[in-house]
Amino acid sequence: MTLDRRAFMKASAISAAASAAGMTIPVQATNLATDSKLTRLKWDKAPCRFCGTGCSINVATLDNKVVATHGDIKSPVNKGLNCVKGYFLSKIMYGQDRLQTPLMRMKNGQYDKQGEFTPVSWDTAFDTMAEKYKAALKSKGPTSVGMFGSGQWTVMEGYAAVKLMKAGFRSNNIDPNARHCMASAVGGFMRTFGIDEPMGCYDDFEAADAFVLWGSNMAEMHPILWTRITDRRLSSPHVKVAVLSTYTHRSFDLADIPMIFEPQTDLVILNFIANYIIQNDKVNWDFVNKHTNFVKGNTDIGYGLRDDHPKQKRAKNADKAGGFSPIKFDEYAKFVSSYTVEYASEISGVPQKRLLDMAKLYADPKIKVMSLWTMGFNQHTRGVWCNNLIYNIHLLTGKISEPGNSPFSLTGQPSAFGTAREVGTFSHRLPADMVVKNPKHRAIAEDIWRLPEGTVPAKPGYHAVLHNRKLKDGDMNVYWVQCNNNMQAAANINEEGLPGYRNPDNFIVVSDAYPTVTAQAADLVLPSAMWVEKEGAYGNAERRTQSWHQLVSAPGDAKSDLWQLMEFSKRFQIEDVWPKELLDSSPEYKGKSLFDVLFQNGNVNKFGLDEITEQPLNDESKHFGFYVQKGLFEEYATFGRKHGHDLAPYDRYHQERGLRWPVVDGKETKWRFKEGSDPYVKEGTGWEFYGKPDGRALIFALPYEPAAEEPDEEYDMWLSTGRVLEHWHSGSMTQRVPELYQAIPDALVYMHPDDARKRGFRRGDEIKVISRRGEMKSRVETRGRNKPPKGLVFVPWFDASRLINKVTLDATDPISKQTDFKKCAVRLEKA
Amino acid sequence: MGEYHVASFIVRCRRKHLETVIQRIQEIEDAEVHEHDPAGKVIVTAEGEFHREISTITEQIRDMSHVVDVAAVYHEYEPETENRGKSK
Amino acid sequence: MKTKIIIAVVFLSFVTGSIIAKDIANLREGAELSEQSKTQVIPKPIVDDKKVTRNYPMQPPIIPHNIRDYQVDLNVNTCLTCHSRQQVGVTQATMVSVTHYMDREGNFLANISPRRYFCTQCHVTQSDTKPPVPNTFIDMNKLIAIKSKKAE
Repeated sequence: MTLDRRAFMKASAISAAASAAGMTIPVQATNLATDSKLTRLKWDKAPCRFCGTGCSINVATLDNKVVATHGDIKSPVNKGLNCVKGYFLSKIMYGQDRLQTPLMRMKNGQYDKQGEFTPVSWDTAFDTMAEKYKAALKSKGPTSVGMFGSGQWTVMEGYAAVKLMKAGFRSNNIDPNARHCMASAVGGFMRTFGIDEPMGCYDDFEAADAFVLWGSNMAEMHPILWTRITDRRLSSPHVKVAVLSTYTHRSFDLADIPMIFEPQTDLVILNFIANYIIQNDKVNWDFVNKHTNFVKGNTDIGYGLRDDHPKQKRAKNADKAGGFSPIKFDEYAKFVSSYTVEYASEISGVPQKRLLDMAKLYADPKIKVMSLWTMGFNQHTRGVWCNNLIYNIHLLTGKISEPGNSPFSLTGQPSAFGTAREVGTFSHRLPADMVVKNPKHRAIAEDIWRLPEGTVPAKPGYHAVLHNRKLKDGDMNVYWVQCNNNMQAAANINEEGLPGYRNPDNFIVVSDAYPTVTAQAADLVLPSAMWVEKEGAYGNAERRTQSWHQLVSAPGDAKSDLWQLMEFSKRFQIEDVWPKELLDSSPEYKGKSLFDVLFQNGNVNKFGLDEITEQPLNDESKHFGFYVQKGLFEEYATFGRKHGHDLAPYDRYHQERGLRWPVVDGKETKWRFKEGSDPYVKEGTGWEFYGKPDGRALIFALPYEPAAEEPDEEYDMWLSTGRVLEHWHSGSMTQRVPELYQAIPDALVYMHPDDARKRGFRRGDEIKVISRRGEMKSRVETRGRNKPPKGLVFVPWFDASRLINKVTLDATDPISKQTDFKKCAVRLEKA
Repeated sequence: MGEYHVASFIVRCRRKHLETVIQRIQEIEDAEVHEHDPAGKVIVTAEGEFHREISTITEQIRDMSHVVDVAAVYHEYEPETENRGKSK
Repeated sequence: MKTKIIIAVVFLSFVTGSIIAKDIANLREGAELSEQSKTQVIPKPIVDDKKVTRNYPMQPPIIPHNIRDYQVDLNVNTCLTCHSRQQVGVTQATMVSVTHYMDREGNFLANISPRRYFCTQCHVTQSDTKPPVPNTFIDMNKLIAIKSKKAE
């Protein structure tokens, strides 16, 4: 026991006796401070570290430590509430095994891929890294280096990484873990509206008459938004909640219309509702005629598997997956006419009455409907289609962009919006929804970055699933993973992920706060600062950008990902990374370091240290000599201002509990595409979907197509994976908080009692979940919070010692390249 | 695996012999005097690895001449190793 | 064999106060990525009804009793059958915090605010199992005690 604990106990004893004796003890004698200066806590604001809801928190610090947190009463998002994870934010930085020094695999004092992890200095780490990068760039060129980033990066970190990769190393092989969560949603937005991110906002919760959850488990995954739905539903008896999923979960506790459907048949149900609206003459013709066009999407588009997979070879349009052609309404009506309620009920297993009850919510023009979805739709081999199809319903009825009428694509991560999507940390993207394929967009980026024409590579790079495949095949040889746990998170660990990282030709660097499964697979591990150990900004699901100051120091030698990216760039002269032709067109850059070119370009280093007025701590800025976060943010904001993505001046975010972009003339935008609410909408139009050249959104004819791998005789069960309330993602933070660990310590196999009985399992038995790709041991749970129907099991992925992704399939939506984590075929055996 | 015990007492003694009593208590190992008032009340703590040791100290003080009463007020103890999770 | 070594190493680091950096697989009992250690049985919940000290005042208290088969849905809220203001006189259960009677705007209501309806979004039980990695979070009172001792 520490001496401090003893001192404390003793002080309590003395105080108690003195009190009983009627004596006062002077301050020195008690060790219990009565001086309020010593007890005063310092409170500052920050967003929560966890989900895409983006609650605001008040953080109390004392002596360079976080000692308490509280839901921020002033924030419109959560108004003082947190979920259980949020209530333990004070503990997430204090797991005893925080990484504090770089670790590199060594043998005999040298780097060796088969060696043991040995503490090294930052200098040694960066020296080795730079050597590896330069060798790879020289021998194979920019396509041999890659980076896997994060929807939990701060906005500044994502932006610095984009510059480093696309402008520095000139590689488009940067992709974020948001590819696993939001890519299909982005695909849906871009195809239907031509511009990313929801048109509604959280104010819709208090205005809606009906909520429909499409495969999302908001009770556990967006708990604070669930409280807003609960509040609305239990305060207003006319409000209805419909919940659709492939298994029963906690969100069903509030469901008026519960629906369990056969996996993949959400596509059928979506088309049925469109059909119902048309058959019952509930189309909002005024809206449809003025604001929409009809198109037919390409079908038979494959499953994003490796090219030699038979299912890929058979697919007719695998290389034209995203294509579509214009049609007229009649053709669309005919297309959906086969999706009758009888057909939908038969194929999905949902009783007809429930389907009709839900359809009526959409069809009745007086009912304001909010549709909500996340991974059920997005982690789906036809995820983009699901997104297009749900928008169809809201467009046919005109229920969009007004309070309560809201197709709301929820995001999972705290900054999948703010960082990954808005900054464009994808293999095909640039900031503000621009793409590398478009020469005009590249020119804009090069102009803002003050770089010569031709710097930014035109060909999209490798996306997430391809990263693991290219590492395995040896096409990508130097790889930097920051702020995610992709070895645990990505599908098909045994066949692709693990061989990729351990390929002897490859050098893998992992930056994290804690030793994770991904770190275990790496060659060099860098200790990262986390959350309020650095200044940053996040963007949540309702387009709300929130910033925070650094409040405490990182432990040991841990440094923020931002520091790492910028400091590493100092190791390169521009001649190391740019070809002669590029340098010749910009001779003023000759002899400069990459750091100079990217981060001392007059924009990023524009603001001096004197601009840091509110908080004394800002380790990165003090190190580099200028206000790094503000410089990066303001340069980045240039991309979006006046182009529908306006961000407020950086300093304003330190005053507010966030602002929803576009922020025009100091005012945030609540509903986009609507006249009066969105400053970009032309007067007199009513609605304008200005992401499309003609201002019209697209209604898509898209059919049902089966899943990539369905149960058969050998593998007779569906496997669905996902999360639980108490653990965030891979559990690297939450498993180290005792209260959260003990709330739900292990990933169990949730199954129907009949399925267990049929196989001779009892609750608690150790079994194996086996697929064509691998197996995982766990324990049977037949009476847990998740109650699957017969024929399906659910396993969460938060458990580093039970890696369900050894079992899953790396099939993706061919348009979005997002992995389908919800459907593959398994069998169960006693272990 | 040991424990840490700490207990506090109010010792009452004859006013005239306050100084002597205080001095004698201070000679006992693991006992400590913290405050006193002129009326003859003394705040004392005792520390030890086992409950037995606390009792021994209490007895010693009680047995001293000029001590009228030893009133126990507070007693807390904890196991010695930091054990945050509950283990079985 | 490997497990025993790891335990010894971890024990040493408790004593010395440092973590040996090589321990990368701390949430996996040191298992190689291609392997998997034996899975523990499903732990039982801690149901001794004893209040657990909160880490700081605003933390939602832990549930120290069994909640198996408790229903919280449109029909019933089992938790409130003991913990609501009207019931605690009979049940002697802890009353829900007064904060639960406030709506979104901070107005006090006659009954529990619907936004607080689903108790297990904030309150959790604890399984009887030891966390794999200790946490070095320091209670604010301890920090204050250290500070004032230094100030002497």
